[in-house]
Amino acid sequence: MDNGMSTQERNGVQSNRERAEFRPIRSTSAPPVDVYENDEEVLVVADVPGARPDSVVVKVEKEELYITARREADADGRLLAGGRWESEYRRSFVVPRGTDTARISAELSHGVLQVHLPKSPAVKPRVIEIKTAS
Amino acid sequence: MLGYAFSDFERTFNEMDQLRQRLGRVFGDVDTREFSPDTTWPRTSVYETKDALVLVAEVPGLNEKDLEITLKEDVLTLAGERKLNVPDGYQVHRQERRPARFSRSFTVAHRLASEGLTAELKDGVLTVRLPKQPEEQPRKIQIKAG
Repeated sequence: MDNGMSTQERNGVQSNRERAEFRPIRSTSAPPVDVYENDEEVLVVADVPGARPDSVVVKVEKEELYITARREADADGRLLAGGRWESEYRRSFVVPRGTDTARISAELSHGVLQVHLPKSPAVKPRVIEIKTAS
Repeated sequence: MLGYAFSDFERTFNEMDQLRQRLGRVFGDVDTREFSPDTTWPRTSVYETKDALVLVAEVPGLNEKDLEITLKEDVLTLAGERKLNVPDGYQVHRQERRPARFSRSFTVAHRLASEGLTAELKDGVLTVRLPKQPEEQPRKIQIKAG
């Protein structure tokens, strides 16, 4: 552990997990996020490549939205270029007031997570019909 | 409450302003872990295993049709495009994900087997396996006696 590099050289090919111990590990990362809004909802879109669907957790607690997901390790082998060590995505936001938290829904497709935060009727814009005198 | 109709109105509008302000900074991150953009997209790693080279690229949101993989002599090229359109009728509060048109090439410093190259796209991660040419077996040379 104290002299990781030489251990690594001595042993030659090691698994990612073993080698990861010798490197600075960023075990979590903040996924890039888009936030959109229309009259009906606020839509949060996050890139979480490699996240298994059953590992994704979307949680609302005390007016905060938490997104976490675990990422599978890359293939075993000797790293030649690049490399990533994150094992978890994590991001959290303030939920806008007027969100109907009971109806928040989320879906995952091709490594992209979409979270729908519907607005409660009270904050939805309403067009008032104008009556005309006949 | 009805007795204070006007001040209620005022308060209501104040609250709406507050809501608007709040929406303006909607999604201020709760924790300090700010997203920092990578310089290249897609993020890519190359691994070498006993019998193959493995290229792993993070391509969230792309499907097979958006990607093109070519191997020409010893150069592997991964190309594609990610379009990011604002969903219809939505306004944008924050846009950290980015559109990308990319082409990345990797020189392969191994002799590759001519067959068995595979590419798999799963959960937004592309994995390309390039099997190595099996090492030639050591051969024993018979010495003939004169």
